[in-house]
Amino acid sequence: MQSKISLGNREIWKTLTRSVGWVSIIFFLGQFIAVPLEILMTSSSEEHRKYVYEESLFQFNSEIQVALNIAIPVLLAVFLFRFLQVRSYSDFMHSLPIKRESIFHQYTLAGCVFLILPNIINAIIIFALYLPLNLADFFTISEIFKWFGITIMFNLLIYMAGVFIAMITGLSAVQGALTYIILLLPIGLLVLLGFNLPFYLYGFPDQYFLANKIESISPLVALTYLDHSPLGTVEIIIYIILIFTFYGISLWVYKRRKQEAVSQALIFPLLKPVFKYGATFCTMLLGGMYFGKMEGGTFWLIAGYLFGAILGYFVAEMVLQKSWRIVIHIKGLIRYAGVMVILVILFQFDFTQYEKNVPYTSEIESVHLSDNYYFFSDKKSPYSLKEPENIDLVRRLHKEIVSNKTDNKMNRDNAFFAYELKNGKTLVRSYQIDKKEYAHFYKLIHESDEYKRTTNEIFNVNVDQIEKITIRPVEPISKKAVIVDPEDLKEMLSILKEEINRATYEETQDFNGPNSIIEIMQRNDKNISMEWRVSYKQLEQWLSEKGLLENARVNASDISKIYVARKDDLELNFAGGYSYEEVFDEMESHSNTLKITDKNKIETILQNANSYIDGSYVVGFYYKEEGTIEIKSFTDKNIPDFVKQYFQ
Amino acid sequence: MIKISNVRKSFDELEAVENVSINVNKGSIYGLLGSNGAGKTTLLKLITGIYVQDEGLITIEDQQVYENPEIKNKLFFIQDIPFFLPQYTVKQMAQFYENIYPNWDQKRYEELVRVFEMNVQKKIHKFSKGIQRQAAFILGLSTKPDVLILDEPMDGLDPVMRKKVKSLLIEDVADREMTVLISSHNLREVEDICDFVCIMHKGRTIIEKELDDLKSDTHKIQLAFNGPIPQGIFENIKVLHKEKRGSILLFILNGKEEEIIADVKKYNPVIFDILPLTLDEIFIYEMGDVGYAVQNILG
Repeated sequence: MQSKISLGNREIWKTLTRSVGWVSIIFFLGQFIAVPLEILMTSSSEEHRKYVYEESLFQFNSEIQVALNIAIPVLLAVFLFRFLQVRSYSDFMHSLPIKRESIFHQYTLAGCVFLILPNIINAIIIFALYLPLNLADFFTISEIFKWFGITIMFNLLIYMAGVFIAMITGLSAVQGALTYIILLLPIGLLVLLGFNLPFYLYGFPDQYFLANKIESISPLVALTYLDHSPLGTVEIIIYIILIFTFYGISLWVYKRRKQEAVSQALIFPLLKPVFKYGATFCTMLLGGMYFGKMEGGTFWLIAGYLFGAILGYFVAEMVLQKSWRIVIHIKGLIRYAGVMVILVILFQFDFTQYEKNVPYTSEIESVHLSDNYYFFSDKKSPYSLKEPENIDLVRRLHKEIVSNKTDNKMNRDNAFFAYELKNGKTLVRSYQIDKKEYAHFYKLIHESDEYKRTTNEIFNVNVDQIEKITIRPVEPISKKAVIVDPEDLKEMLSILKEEINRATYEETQDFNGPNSIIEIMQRNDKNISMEWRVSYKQLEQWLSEKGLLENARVNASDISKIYVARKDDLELNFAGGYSYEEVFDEMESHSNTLKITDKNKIETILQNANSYIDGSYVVGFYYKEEGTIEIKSFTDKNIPDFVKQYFQ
Repeated sequence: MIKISNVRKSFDELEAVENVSINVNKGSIYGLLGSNGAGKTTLLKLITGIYVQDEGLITIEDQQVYENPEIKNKLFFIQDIPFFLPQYTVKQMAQFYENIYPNWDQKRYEELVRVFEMNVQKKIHKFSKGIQRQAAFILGLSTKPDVLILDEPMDGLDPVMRKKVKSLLIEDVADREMTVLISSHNLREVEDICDFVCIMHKGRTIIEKELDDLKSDTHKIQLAFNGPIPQGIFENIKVLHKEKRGSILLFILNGKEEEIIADVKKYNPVIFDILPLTLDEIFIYEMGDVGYAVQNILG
């Protein structure tokens, strides 16, 4: 007798196949068209084979695959557990002499089978095609296993999330929507926090916070990355654990689910406030992020929070009351606002001690200080300072920035700190500052021996390893100077080191003059490139002696003419973007433009023009080679006398 | 058979069933009456093991029903609007039940199909409401339940069908002592088959009686005396209602008929008639004040 109502009840199987079998069939067909058929079509003819770039099975029609993998499992969960969301169906199922546990196992496992089956069939089809079509040209056999293993894993994970949501809600629509929300929530919340926290925690490094491979914390997002960023082992293990966890929790919840709550958005009363205030909080952050980033200013930020919170609260109430004409429990909103105000006040007083937390010298192992997060993130091992004097200087700079909190707002320059502490932790901060105001610190740090050694790769270069050194102008010109003689290489290297050691902070921040890039090519294929600054006079001298100066940088003979005009005279919207040609044409046609063709004057201008176009005079270069145009400017202290005279 | 003691069930803030205790004997047909929202359906779903009670105990044959397949095997529930699996024919539903209920009787099923002239190949949702209900009866009875629970079963059936269904129920009750629990908002619909009736109002049971007792113990009499009403009349008999129309007195009394006649005769009434009393009237008088509130169930 008991066997009749065991796990494998035949009639329930039939019912399930009748009601959700179509989902499985659609999945199979979609996947078949996306992968095996695509392989068949592209690789059966020699002509097509040339254009097959896919190296992984995820890359075949990746959009279709992603769409299927996102939609199908949730669709299946919704239709499979329809019996939980319709009152008469629910009453029918629960009046049958079957334990809830059995219903759950049978339904949930059946869903797994419906998801796995299409994958297996398609994998078998691909296997069958592998030898006849010589698919080894594109991918290995193990790639097939990887493809269907990972796809099944994602299918099951998203499906189980859908099953879990089915247990806590009493409406199919809510089940579908909530499943996606819960899958996206981790990443969404992180992004929202990342954008909002800098407003409250002075120095919060949002870029650093958001760059830590966050896409894998949401399976839905990780899924869309599959075709170009494969999953790590840790992620796979976590996802598999999650599948089983969802299974267990869903069963636990189902056994405690009160069937009379069918058709309510949330079955468990406990979840209602969680949902309501959670939604309010998220939309509040979203509003703050949108208005805070778009408009700037505290007023808009607060307006964004208010608008977001009210909207989220109303929408959550509408969902819970299942109507858009709702009774607003305004008290809840007021209470929520109260809590938020307290939270903001606490942040203002820095109750977490986040802002004031500048580590002590004794705690610091090393520190990285740069102008941008990307200096830190782009390198495999970003440079760091270890000498106590430098650590102390960085700390003092850090403290100074924090104490000037109110004066530092909205600046172009960035100061990025990353401390490695002795206890193994890292402390990262990022501030917007005006570097000029802190130049005394930067001068001491940048002119220190350690800083020069750690930030210039050239100090790690072995002369014997150098293959050649190329010096090429940054300007749009094709000439270059090449040094290959070992003796010359040796001399040049030592000159470069001396130049770097000699350079003052101001000189390293100066972008005047005709820039050239020095590329040091090593035998191990590692290239080092550095800028040739206008202050490197000894290098200039040496190159001149070697007869290389002519080709190493732009000089008067490369340029046919130069225009100089006052920036204010030109009718150009510099903020709105412009092309070099536009500026040059405008200068050419303007009456008050100085045209220069004299070689000496051109040379002087070359030495003094700055590539940052923020000076009061705009300089337009017309190169002989291909008639290319370049625009620079003069900063006030570098304006040549003849230019000054002309415009007086 | 079915024992419900001190059961309480609330939804959110609403008390759907408040402290209900009833007993249903094996082989009886038990009518659960009450207006809409009285808690009948909730009580039935509690008995069926769809809902779980907040307090109290529900047992069938001394076993808890909730999550107990052993008991649920012998129990069949027909909802107020019968439910069938989507797109199923009667035949497919029969196969489904055959697989689920161990006592399924294929012969009985075929016999019932014949009696009702049911088209088993047609999808059930295409049938009219009445035919769907018949299908539910056919399927339910074919599982050979010890306990059949029916929520508003007569709704949507024409008088001929009602008769057919009632006779089928009675047949099974007589043959194999099936216990039937019927809910209804109308006493008339079920008074001819029920032997026990329970009236629910606002989640509570207000009266639980055996119908035969009720009928034989409640009497309506008309009296008239020469002169004033004699002192001491009906001293030992429970008076449910008393009314005076001119010189005619109207009494509703609870007691044995012979005792009442004997008592009245002592006072030599000018007029003395025992009038017929409808079941509705009995209930209204029995329940006193609440009776008027639930009159619509009885009318």
